[in-house]
Amino acid sequence: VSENETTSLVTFWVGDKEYAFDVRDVVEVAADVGVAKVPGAPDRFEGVVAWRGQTIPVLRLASFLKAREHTPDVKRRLLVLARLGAFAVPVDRLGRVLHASEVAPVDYVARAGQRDPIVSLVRSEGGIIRVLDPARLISSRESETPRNREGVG
Amino acid sequence: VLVGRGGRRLLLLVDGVEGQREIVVRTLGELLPRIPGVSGSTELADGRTVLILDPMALFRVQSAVAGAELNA
Repeated sequence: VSENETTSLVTFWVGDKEYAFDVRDVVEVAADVGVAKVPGAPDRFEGVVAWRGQTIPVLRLASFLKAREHTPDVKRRLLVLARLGAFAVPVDRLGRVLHASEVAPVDYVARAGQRDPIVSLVRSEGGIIRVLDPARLISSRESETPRNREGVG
Repeated sequence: VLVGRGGRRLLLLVDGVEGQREIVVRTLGELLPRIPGVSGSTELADGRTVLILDPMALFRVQSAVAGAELNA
């Protein structure tokens, strides 16, 4: 991003840290009416929810971010993202829409089969905001799990 | 709950039966890998999503697990 360009971000909180997605990646902010658990699914999937006439997976965002799991007394929201197909991530609370002109990219670090989803950092009056790339939350390695190779179902 | 397909019958132990209804079966999408024993999902009138199970596939998975444990 050059000095004259601005990036519009939707910020949100998971635990005590503020994160963001590019506003173009966020399709909808939905209420959490209940995620259906899917037994046998990889750990990174919390379950599935119905959304606009289809069923979409819900990713366990906190595990990607090494953050604490959502506490039940917090009324969380689901951010529906569209990148390689629609999926949702639960967040503790929404932040704001931020127009950032200085976005500092970060080199990702491969971590045991999954890429770090944080692609850049933005400084704001509230501190550092970590910008996530939805594509890095969806890994092609997911389709290579042993369960999937069993061919039973 | 007694289920059957192709001459095979299975008894499933469940906590309760809510009823019988016609539903629209949806896939779990392309992002989620295929889960043995889960054939799809549907949305109830109150917005909840429920999984649709394939009992025969569940039986095959459990039989394979039990066989592996016996051979171990």
